[in-house]
Amino acid sequence: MEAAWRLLNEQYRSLVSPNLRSFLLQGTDLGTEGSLPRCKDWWQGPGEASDNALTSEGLVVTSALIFWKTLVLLTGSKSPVVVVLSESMQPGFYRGDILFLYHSNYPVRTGDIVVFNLPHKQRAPGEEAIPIVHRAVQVHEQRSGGQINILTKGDFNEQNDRDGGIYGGIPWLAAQHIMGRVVGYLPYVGQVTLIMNDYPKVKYALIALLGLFILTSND
Amino acid sequence: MHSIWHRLNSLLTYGSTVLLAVCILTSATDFLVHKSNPVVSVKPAKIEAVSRGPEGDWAWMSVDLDADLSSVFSWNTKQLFVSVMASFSTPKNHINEAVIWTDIITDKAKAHIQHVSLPPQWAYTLSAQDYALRGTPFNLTVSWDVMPIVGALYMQQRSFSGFQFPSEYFKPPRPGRLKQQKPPGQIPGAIV
Repeated sequence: MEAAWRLLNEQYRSLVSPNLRSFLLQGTDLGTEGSLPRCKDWWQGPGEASDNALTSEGLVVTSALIFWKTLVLLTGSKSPVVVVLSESMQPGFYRGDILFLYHSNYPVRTGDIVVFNLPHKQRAPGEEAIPIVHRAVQVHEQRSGGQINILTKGDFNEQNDRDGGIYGGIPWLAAQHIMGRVVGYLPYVGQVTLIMNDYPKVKYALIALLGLFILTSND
Repeated sequence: MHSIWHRLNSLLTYGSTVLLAVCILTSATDFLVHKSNPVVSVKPAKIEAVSRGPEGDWAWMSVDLDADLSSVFSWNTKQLFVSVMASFSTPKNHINEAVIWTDIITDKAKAHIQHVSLPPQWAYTLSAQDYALRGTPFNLTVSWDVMPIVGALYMQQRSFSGFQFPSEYFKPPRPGRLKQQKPPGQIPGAIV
């Protein structure tokens, strides 16, 4: 027991020791340390060898990715946070609102606001299947096999989704189409995503600006 | 640590953290502090038709609805989505649920809805997937989906049982006279 603890301690120390850290950082430093001028040196003169700007950039991106993937695992849904892109659920959800989804095995019942995907539907080449957020208005669950048939309708639409042609040929939704249920709501926060959706140049400009800020930051 | 960018950065970070905390607390008041006492009753006024469709039986029914939902409104409630739903069991499906009427209430003052002989809305059909609707008992459920200004959504309902479909097919003598109500949506057809 004592020996195992000591071994663990030693391993932990070797992981955080400065030798290993600088070794790993060299790997992110494009191979040769000091061969490329560091952006930081231009601003504050050659200081002590601290984390490279590229490492901090990598850390920002990977920590955001870790946070997102953890959220995907916790909620069981492939996209746990969605931005409302259509007006079909007004006056409840407007364009630019944020919805939090949760996918559980609990079967869908009428009144639930579900998010579903229709991968079979005919699309223009290059167009992605966007998830649709509508409310379930009819549910039929079979005795044998438990197969479930769902009909949905957007609150602001006059017709349900089957009559309105949204299903693309199938008469009912099945459990495999459902990506989750709406459990939370945040108004207006998704306006930025809307602007980036409608004007892709804004998206590229924003990413470039973000990269520039991280590269030139002092920490 | 004193450049304008650092100051702006800390201001925005702190501000958005506080805003997030306030949103979470606001939503929590709906579940921890708010007490609601809705008084609801619904019953079928008249079952207008029960008939065979291409894939199963269908029915039209008008209901008497009296729902006092004003106590459900809290300071964090944006709107209530009220629906009346019929649920029944058939040999093929042990659960069938069909919404027959919906309404959106955005104002606490208009939250006491009383309708007598509420006609069905044309967006919704009470249909089954087999031909076993005649003589089947059904429940009527009034459910309201509380959509908040910010935070978690939740749904409550009250069910009433003891109703039964007639044991024979019938349609109103002059179908054109059956009045249907417009559903609350405004977009003709359906958009994604």
